[in-house]
Amino acid sequence: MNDFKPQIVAFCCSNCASSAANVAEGMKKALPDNVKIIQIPCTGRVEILHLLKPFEEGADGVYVAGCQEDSCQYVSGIAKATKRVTHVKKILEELSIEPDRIDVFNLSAGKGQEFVEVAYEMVNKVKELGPFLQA
Amino acid sequence: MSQEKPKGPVMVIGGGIAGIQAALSLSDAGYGVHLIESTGSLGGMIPKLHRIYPLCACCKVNPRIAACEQDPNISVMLNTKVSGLTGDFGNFSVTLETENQKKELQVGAVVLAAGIETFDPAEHETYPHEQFPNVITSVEYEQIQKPLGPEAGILKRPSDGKTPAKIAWLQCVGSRDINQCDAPYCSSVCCMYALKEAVNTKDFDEDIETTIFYMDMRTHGKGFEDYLNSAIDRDVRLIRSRVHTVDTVPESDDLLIRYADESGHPEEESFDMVVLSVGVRPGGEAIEIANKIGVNLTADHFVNTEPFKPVSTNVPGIFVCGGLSGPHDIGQSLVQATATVSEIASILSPEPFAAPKKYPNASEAADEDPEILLAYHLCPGMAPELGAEIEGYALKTPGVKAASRVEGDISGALTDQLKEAGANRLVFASCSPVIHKNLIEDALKSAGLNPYLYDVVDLRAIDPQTSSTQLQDRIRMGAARALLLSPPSLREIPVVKSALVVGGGVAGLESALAVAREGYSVTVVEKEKELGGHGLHVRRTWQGYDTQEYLKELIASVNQDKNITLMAETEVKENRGFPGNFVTILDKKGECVELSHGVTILASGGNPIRPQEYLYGQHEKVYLWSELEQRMMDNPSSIEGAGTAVFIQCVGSRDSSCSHCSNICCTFSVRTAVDLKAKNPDMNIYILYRDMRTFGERENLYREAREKGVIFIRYEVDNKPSLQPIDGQERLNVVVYDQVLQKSIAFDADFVSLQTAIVGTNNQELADIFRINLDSNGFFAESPEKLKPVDSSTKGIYIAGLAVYPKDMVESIAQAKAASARALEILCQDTIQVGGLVAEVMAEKCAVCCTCVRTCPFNVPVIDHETGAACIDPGLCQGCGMCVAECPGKAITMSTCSDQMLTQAPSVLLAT
Amino acid sequence: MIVAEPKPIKELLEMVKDFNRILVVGCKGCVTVCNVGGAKEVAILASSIRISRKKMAQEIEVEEHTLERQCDPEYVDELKDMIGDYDAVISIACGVGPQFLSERYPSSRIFPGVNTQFMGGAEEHGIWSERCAGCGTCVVHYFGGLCPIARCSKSLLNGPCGGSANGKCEISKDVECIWDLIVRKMMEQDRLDELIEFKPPKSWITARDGGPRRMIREELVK
Repeated sequence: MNDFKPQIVAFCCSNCASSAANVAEGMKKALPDNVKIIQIPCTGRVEILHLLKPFEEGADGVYVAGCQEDSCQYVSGIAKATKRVTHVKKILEELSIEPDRIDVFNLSAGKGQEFVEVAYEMVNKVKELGPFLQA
Repeated sequence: MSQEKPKGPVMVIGGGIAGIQAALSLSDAGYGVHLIESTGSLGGMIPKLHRIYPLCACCKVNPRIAACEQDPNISVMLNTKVSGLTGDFGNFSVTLETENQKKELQVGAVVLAAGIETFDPAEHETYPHEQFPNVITSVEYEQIQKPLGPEAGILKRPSDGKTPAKIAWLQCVGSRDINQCDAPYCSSVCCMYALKEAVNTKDFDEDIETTIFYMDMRTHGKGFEDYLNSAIDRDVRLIRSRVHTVDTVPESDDLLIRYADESGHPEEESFDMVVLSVGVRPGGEAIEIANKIGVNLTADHFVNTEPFKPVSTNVPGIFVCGGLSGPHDIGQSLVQATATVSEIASILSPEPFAAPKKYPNASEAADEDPEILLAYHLCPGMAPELGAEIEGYALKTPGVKAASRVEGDISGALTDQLKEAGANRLVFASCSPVIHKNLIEDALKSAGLNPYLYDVVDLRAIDPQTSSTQLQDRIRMGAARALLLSPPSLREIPVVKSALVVGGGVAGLESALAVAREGYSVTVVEKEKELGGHGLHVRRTWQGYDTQEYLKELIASVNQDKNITLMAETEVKENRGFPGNFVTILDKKGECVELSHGVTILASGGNPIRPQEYLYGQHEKVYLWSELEQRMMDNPSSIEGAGTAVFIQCVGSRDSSCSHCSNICCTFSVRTAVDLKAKNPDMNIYILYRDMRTFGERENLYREAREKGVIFIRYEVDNKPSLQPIDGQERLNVVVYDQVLQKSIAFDADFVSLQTAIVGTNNQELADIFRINLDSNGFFAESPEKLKPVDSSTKGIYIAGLAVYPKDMVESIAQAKAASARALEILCQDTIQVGGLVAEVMAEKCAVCCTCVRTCPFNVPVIDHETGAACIDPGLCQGCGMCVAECPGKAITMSTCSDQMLTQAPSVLLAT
Repeated sequence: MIVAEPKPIKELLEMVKDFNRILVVGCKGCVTVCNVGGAKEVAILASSIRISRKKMAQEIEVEEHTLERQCDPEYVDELKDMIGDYDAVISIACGVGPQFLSERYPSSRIFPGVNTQFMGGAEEHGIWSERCAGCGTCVVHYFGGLCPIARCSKSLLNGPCGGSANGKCEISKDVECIWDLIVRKMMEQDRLDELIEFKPPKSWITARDGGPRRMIREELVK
């Protein structure tokens, strides 16, 4: 329906997301070029401000990709990140911005294809929402 | 004494997870290792699996394989077979054969880790694996589930590609069966993997019906029972039954399972797909080798280990670990692999292949303006044009001084190129940055730079259509981050060359001996007066070894060891410090003792709980199992003369108050019953159980007990047996509802033994003192880093014995030896590096608000009242950055992932 | 410490909708520790305002600054060279902050960015509760160390009232009846009889009832 190509920034855990990337690579699955990745040691490192900054820079969507809740190498990293994403959703709502522009995903190296699948899922969702900044 | 030891490298035969672990641990201990693998790749069974129970640990396996390949002290030989072995310990000569050549190698010791094969149902008509396409083995099922498998992780049944709506698992295929497949033992791992496969199927599609047909559900390991319960909550259906036929439903590819339920009633049900939970057996080639070199095997063809020496074979200098010595899970295999190192260290001095690397002192170049070298490594199969594109764009990127390709010796090439370019920051682009981490850090150190002045660019998952945008984004990002890197402070701290062992039971004493033998001083702290712990109440191991005799010898050797200081009636009060340099305050009968030590081994033991049910404490003939053992040792005739004995299993275990399975109780009852029957064949013995968990080769004992006439009656948790006193305190009347007969039966007993749950002795207190985590059952938790079964959640603190989870003595010994091998890795270093990828507090900004103290998952930050700021010990910090994110005053920083990097990243990425 | 919560961003956006040059001022005191008004929250609020304006395609300049404390004039003074450049100032300190700023910079438009709640402490990270009502005459020692003025919904000095049931206050099952706790504590200490000892009525002159309060300590005054 539209040829809008949303710009997405993704914060990815260097443990599971990186191994998931390995599987994705093995399956010859590629990330779309409009999803831009920032690697972090653990998703627990991401702050609310870091999640807001991409919007300030004009991104159309943001997501965090971390471990399964039960398998975080740092125990509670992804749980923390999930709570922060929920909080940012509230902030976006208050700013009259669709909260669906931000999300969090639990990946595992065993299901590496999800590394690419969530990227497309996010792209499609944000595409539906349209550009964050109206031209 | 250590001078007398022969010297030499070690050969590890088998490149599965156990062999890999043994090779890596041996290399860490300074040995050169020949790692021999008969196939074309390392990894063994694990790469064939979809997920590993309970958590996904796939992300940890590939880096270990890579570490073996990169380690200058490990020589990996693929497609290689061992065709002969001669000589003695210290001087073995091994003949190796590859496709076209023969080779002789001299080694000091050998580790057999040639692993397992799975049972092949093709040879047996009972399992129509060959006839019906929709009957597959569990290994084939894992392949289907794997995203990198032939079906790309999409669950389809083989006959028509349709997503199955109903899947059945048949347990004990090629296990617990003397008639069909010559495997009388229980394969021990299949109940868990079937549950895992069913749960993973539910993850794929919640609507798929999953049914497991089983005899006894054997979830006896650490955390396994909780996993079983969570599977039941996910609607995984469990049917206790005997399956007799699998046939096709006429006119379809569906399968009809005919089975007898527990009461013997015939039933049938159709399924879309049937998975055979195939058992494991020692690898055929491995047995051949073992036979050739005179290693004793058990009746089940597993390598037989020596009494109380779980990784030693009958041939001195030849050790065994992993599935070759019995059906073990991954955790046990890793424990055994690590334990071999402590055994080898006791008889062989290390002979490394490569001298320890010397690094130049860090130059001051790091403090100058950042200048980046962008180096890249292209994997086979990547388009070579990519190189030119990377270089072209890199050189246009701000801060990048030079760009070049590395091949072959990655670390050496990087060092040279860093020097040549005069760069002080590195951006490394490759297809597996996590795997190259060690090489990158090594290269920076060799170039005289701080090893953390690098960032990585991931070349994976790039779409060929848009590769230049993606490459450019990623290169820009890597360079921007590298420009913001400041060298984190690093310190070399001298290692205090001694160990603290908490607990004077079997696990504690074995680990103390293993560490002391290498010349380090060890302090053993025991809170009771007497050494021996729970072992004092154990008469025999399940194999039938005399425990008390062994314990006496063990205590004697500990007493004789000049390196060991024993402190009985002593408790731990406080602990601080980091690996290499801990300080612990001990309370010795009121006297306060301060102890410095480099490592800590917690082996504080466990005890059976005292039950509130079954007339315990009210009737003289109701014993706790440890009391029964004591009586059998002190006054055997009082027990052996009984007319009827009753054993009640799962007392206080596997219920709401204590959800774990205590692992050893089934085997204990069967062992004791067999021993009593041997003394008094006329004794009536009833074992009232919920699932008989005589896993592994313990199954043989279960069969022996049945053959000897021991009666097994299964009860349900909501319909427990009841006891009534008769003849005052003399005898008891026992009533139990028999699930097979479907009615209550009653009999009189001369005594009743209660097999109660085993719990840690004082785990909570010790966890608080040592700041380590407990699991949901109150046992010491393994490191969340995964695949490190004797590491606690805090570095430098290792765990072993009953305090980790209930297990038999031989397994405790393996764990103790593994823990001491891990401890020795720290003790053999003169200094330990602290700092690097850690959080640092800027004291002047700290509001001492305690946020970091409350946030850290590893309880590392503390408030230092002298500086008036939070203090994060760089030796303990694991580098997750959670406190950095949570600190409200922005007083905590992480130089490798700074706020500046993360706030600027979007603008760098979105700039076009 | 003084515990506050953020004002809804929507409300703040409405307050400053007519201004295009905004200064957000934080405080490193209590509000930093209770995660509502430190440098971190300053950055989050500033970013949120920028995003909102960007979305509406409006020009905006938001500056961030965090003072050591907003309740000491020396620190408030630090803004003197910059505050004139902004047409709106949002203080995310407790209620003291915006007032100190307003008094020191009479020509600036100052807006409060947080709602100051109470004097209390952290039960755990992320959970705070009230402990003190600032009544001016502390009496907690009569009540087992627990303050009925701050913690009883009716500030009763002779509770519990009929609304106490199962240790909870009738206003909500999440609110503990402090009088239930006081009585239990006194029983534990075997001092229950002290609760029926006669005490003269509490003077509320030292509390807010005596009008706005000011305190002069001669030994400290220059």
